Amino acid sequence: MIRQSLGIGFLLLQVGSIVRCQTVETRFLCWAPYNYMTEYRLDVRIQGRALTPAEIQARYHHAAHDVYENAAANLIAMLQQYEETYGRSEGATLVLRYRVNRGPEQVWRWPIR
Amino acid sequence: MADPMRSAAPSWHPLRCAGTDMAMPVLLMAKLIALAYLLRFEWRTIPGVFLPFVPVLEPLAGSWFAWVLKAAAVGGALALLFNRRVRVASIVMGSAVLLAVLASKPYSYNARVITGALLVLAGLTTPGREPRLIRAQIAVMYLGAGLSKLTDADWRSGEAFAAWAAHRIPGDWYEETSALLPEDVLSAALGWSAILVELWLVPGLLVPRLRVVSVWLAIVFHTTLLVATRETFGMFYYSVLASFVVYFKWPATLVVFHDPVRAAGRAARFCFGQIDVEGVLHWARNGPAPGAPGRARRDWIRVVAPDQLWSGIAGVRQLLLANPATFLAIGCVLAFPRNPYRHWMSLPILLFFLPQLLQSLTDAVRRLRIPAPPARIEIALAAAPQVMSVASRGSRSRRCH
Repeated sequence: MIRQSLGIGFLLLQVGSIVRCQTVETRFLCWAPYNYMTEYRLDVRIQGRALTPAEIQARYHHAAHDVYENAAANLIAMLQQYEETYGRSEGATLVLRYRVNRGPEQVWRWPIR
Repeated sequence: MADPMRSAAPSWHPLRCAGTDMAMPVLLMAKLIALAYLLRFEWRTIPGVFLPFVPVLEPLAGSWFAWVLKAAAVGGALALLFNRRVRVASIVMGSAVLLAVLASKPYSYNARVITGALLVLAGLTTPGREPRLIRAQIAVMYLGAGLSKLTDADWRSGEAFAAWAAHRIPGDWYEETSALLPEDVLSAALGWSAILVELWLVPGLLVPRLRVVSVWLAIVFHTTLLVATRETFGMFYYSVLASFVVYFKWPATLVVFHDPVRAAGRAARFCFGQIDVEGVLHWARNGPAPGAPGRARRDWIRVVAPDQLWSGIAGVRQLLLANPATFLAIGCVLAFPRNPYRHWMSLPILLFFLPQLLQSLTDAVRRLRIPAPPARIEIALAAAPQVMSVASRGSRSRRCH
């Protein structure tokens, strides 16, 4: 009975996450596989120096230029989380240019002004 | 669901799936996932804590965390394959995969979530009962996938599918085919096909009378994606297809009549006898059946289940489908590392089992009408009543003529 309840609770959490994803922009853990093709290019500068693609990969665990197969909001959320936690003291400036599903180019910048 | 093949002590034999504290199909599913996970070296990708979903994991940052998860995942997988404390092993392995996802947003892919979720739920499934948790998990996954597409304007217009196809489908054939049609027609049609299939599978996999047809539809759907994209999407293809074994009824006993005079009959007797590690098959000589038509007398193999009969290649297909070793062998072939032809190899496998899909469709239609009496089965059973009496006593004897 306890095991069944644990399993049902686990499934209900997922249903809740699916419902929640209808109201927010991010698509983490809500079963939206490969629903978005976000082609992006990320430029990062720290104290005026531009990071190389290898440094960007090492810093964010994402390539500097790639197709991220999920919502752009996910990518932005990860970059923002990094800069608000691990990279808080480094004062990095980020420019993310991206297109979702071959749509128009959009730009996100950090720090947000 | 009762597991009639449960015996006293669990075997170390990796092909055996009965005799543990997990229902046979559930353990087979867990083994298939574990096998693919090991063969693909998935455990090597488990990262340390990095941009976690849950801030409470942040203090665990350090290489030891990743190594603990790797050890748990590999240890759980090996324990599943060798039938050691399988429920605990399944929960440990699944939890390791899910914890790795929670500990790192860049690591969070649906393929990993479904892998971990299925394993955890397999461990939580009560032995002797229907694996409803696993079936519900698959339905929740398709519900999320279908809904997210349905509520997205790009998917409804076909723009999202076109972008996906441009990135994922190698070669020019998709673009060339699309160019033959008005703009966005092909992408919209295929996008809507994906939406409808995913939403259909939610009730389709939950309602018993739709289940078998829906499983075959899902297998065709995912294998088409595999062939078109040459991608398994990480563990996704393996985990989802492995979960489908819990939707089928596994026979406790099959009586197999073979013709020992013919080479094919002897070969079938030898080959299937070797891989029948669960002792499901009861063999008998294929004698002339009273009242049977001439062609039925000449069958080199006939397979009899309580409510059905198959002969020839259809019989071989049933023997393969009733044996966990078949699925483990297919898993090995498709998950084998650095196999650039896995997408092509999936095609003949699917084609071999395609008649079973057509049979399922026929059965689904027939169930809408009044069922006819199984005359062919009565004829076959009349041919060797002594065999059935042995089988019905639950004898493990393989040779009973």
